[in-house]
Amino acid sequence: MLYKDVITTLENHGCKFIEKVDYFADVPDMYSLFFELEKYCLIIDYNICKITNPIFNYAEYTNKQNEYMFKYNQCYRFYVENDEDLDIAIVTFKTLISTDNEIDIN
Amino acid sequence: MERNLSHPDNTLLEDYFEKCFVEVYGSDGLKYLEKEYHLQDIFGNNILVDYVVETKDKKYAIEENGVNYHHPQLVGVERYKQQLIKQKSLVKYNFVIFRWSTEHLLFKEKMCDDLKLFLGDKDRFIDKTDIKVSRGFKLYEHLEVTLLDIKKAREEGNNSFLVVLPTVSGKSKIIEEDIKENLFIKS
Repeated sequence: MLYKDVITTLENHGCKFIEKVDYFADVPDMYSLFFELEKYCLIIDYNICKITNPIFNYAEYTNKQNEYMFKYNQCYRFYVENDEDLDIAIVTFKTLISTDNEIDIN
Repeated sequence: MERNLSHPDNTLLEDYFEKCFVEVYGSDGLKYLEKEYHLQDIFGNNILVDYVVETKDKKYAIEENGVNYHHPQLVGVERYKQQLIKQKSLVKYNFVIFRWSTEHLLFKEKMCDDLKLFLGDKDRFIDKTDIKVSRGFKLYEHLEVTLLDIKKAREEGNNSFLVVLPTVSGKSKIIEEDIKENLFIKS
């Protein structure tokens, strides 16, 4: 999927695009997209399990996620490889945030 | 018995993390960490969080992630999706999750800066005393005797000690208990 198509799809669901993270300059079909919806953050990982040599820097991955966790507190992350995965991610994300505060393990 | 009460030996990553935590929050800082926190994910499967820190209004889940077991490209799609289910579950349960990689933990200064920034001041933390003070095991007799000898020698004015014991007989434990007695309790 082209990242612009993912962005358009998410924007059509009310999400605001924040940034795109590329893992390698020469591997365009492997990226993470960061969105905001109300107080929530949504991260879409596209194809980031794809094998490359070398592999991407995991510290940068955790560092970026920590920044978003700190800023938004509630940050949902999904892995997608195709349209169907993206549809499932959107439905799951909306379900998770629509039932917010219904689950409290305390 | 809970695992955190019967599992006194840290992994290397746990050790790095706890050292940074003590560096930032003081010698008694570990009382704010709840180690190996058990809960169920949104599908009812058991999950374990490396550490939890709680304040009156927030819960922080802390994971120290070895690259080989967590990197998306190394673990593959299915295991990465499992990681994300765990993460989504924690977010759903109102945890704020911070992950630190092996590489991150090795850079103590950066790690300490992250802790200060992300977790804030310890005045907000809730005391979780089970990690250090209440470990449910008893010292072997030879360790107690050695510690008593050290204590007696210290009272007589000695400040350096040599303990000779076989391998894996508890020399590190003697140091740990001695530090606990003379540093944590008196501080």
